[in-house]
Amino acid sequence: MRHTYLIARREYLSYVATPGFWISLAMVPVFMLLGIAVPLLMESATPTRYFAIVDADGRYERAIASKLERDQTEQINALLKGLARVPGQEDSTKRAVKALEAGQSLDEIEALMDAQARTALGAIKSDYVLVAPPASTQEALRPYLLGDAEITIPAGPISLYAAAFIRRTNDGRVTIDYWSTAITAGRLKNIIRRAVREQMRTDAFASAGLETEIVRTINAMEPTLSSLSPEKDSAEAEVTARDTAPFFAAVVFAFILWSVVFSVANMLLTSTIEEKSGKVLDSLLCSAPVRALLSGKLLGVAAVSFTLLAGWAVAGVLATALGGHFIPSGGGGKAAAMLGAVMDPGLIFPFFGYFIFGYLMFGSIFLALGSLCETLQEAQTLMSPLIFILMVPMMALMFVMRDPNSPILGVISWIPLFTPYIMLARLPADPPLYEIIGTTLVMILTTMVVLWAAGRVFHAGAMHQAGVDYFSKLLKWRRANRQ
Amino acid sequence: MSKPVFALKNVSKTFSGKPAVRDLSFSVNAGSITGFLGPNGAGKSTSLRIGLGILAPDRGTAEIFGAAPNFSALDRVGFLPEERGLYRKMNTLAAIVFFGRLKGMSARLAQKEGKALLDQFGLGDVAGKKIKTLSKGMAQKVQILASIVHKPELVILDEPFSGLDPVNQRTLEELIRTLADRGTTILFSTHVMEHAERLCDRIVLLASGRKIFDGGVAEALQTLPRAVALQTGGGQDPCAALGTLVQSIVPDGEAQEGRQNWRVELAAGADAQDVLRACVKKGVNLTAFEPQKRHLHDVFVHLVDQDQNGGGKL
Repeated sequence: MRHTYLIARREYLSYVATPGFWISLAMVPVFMLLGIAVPLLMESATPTRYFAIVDADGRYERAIASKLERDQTEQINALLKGLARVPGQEDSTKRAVKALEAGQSLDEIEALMDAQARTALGAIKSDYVLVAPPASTQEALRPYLLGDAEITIPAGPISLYAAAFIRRTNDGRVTIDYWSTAITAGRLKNIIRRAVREQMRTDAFASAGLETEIVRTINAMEPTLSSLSPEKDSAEAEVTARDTAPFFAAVVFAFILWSVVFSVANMLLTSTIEEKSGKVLDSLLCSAPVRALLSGKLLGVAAVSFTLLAGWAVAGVLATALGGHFIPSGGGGKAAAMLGAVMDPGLIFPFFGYFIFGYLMFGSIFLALGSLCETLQEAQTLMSPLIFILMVPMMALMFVMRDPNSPILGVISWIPLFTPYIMLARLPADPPLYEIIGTTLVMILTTMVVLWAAGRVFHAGAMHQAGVDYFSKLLKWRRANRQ
Repeated sequence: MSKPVFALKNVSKTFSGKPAVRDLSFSVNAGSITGFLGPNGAGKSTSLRIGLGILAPDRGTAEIFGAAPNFSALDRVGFLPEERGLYRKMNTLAAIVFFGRLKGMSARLAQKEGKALLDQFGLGDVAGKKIKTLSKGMAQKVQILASIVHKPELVILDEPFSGLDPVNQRTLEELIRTLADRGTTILFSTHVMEHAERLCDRIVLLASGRKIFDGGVAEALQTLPRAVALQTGGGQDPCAALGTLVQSIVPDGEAQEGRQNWRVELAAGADAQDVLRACVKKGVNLTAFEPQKRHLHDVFVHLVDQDQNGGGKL
């Protein structure tokens, strides 16, 4: 035990004392934070764009203005729907919805809501604002589009983002000439195209004898889709973020599990190669038994992984908890749901269980392979097949969200090397109990076999100077013994 | 007679069909300094690793303190591997403490002894530095200190002098003598005979995995015939004059200005005085006469040559 402890301790400190460890510890939360913050920042930092429509009869311009208004109303609706689920916001949200339905202005709706909701509502701004064209010809508009001339809005002078010339030909065709220096941006182009197309259809229906009001009613028809879960009481059957969060959390956990196992198994591989090539192994072998080396290294790196996971967990919980306060537009509810899912013991305990077995399987394999190699180049020849095997659960995880209990995932779950990742990701979908117990038993048995075999290979590598040709020699020896 | 603390008995080891060690037996007595000599690739490191239980032999047995290598016995052994094995990113003192603790020392004692050793060997300033920042010689000294910090009863050093400058070689020789004076048994391998000649009570000579000599240094020197260097003038050949006194007589280089050097190996029982007397008596025109001192290096070359030319095993 003394040897195991000392080797584990050295292994642990050798990683934890390096700047690289602290960088990787910080990198994941930082990237997670950036992943959330950057899109939000980009969205909030995007300025309002001003554009003009040159439309001879004005119908299309009105259609585009109406489309922009409807888009904003939809956004407000979606926000209010999210806010309606946030405790304490229900009443004010109901009042706001009524106001919206009554066609009240955004300012009037805002006045009905509390400060946090107002902030969220304020974040919904018009990305595109239609202004009167400062000129009616393409040549005259060009300086405005190039920034050489500016239009005046209440906030001050500003250059024109885009201008569209809409013409209707005698045969009923409509052409749109869209002018803008932002040649790769397509959103405004699409808004204009859809609005004009809608108007063209309305005109076509009208010319076919249908009343304009009927056409508008037809165009406005939209089914209301509610996603309901039969596992919940009928009164509260609607699927919310709280219901879907465990699925996301499990896949994220499985991905983290995969990443950690892969990176720490690599640590074991490289440290073993370093010890073998640098002859540290000789010094160790005359001071400690092979099994103490094997177990010490596995335990030391496992402790490194737990430190990483603990650090990430703390960062994740803090980020999710704080996210509720800082993320607007009802995201706080989603953050709370995610936090609830992440903190669920039904996910946390299996995570650590699967981590232990996944780590022991891959860690001991990498360790054994490392003991056969003197250089990383040698290791690569042995590692390639293993890398392909490790990629399978990564690919399978992509399908878990779509159909967690699909037959193919059911089959993959029984492959012990993949069980930790796939079963963890499938857990919120309540796979059959026999699958959970069966795959776990097979995984435990396989882990024991892998540990035993890795111990043999490590022993051969460390004490018999076995090299990368160990497996081919073993096969030849077995064949020779059979004959 | 003191008990052997290290022994190999009929040990053989083959790597990929090529024999590295062949039926090797020898033992090291407590308190002795034994040199394990042999050319590169003779099987010295393999034999030492087998003796320490690091490598499993194909045949034969190894014993340390009278038993098969085990970790309670190995706690009493200090080992310096041939290619230096230290964690490059570890601090100097931490590395010494780590290996001391693996050998059963308490953290406090290992720390105390490690510091004392570093100070003693002029490395106190680098105690907190990483191994990778040290010079090769310094790192080697650190490795040696790591192998003796726990005050082992048996110290096995595999090529301890390689890579050290002459000053550090002398320091290491002094360390070995100091350890031996304290009663520590030393077994070290080398292919530099001068160290063995200066330090060893006993040598074991290995060639092509086989033992070709095992005995005291004086005894090893006896295996060489005595030799005399002669110089004759006037183109004279001393062969006829010396007759049965010599085993062989060969010219040593080309004759210059009528003078020829000869290397004379004496026959058993003859000595230099007999050769001198015979030359005087027979009127050989001697211009130089010098009895040759025998060195372990010559013994080594002689025995290895003899072995490679089908000589017998001792």
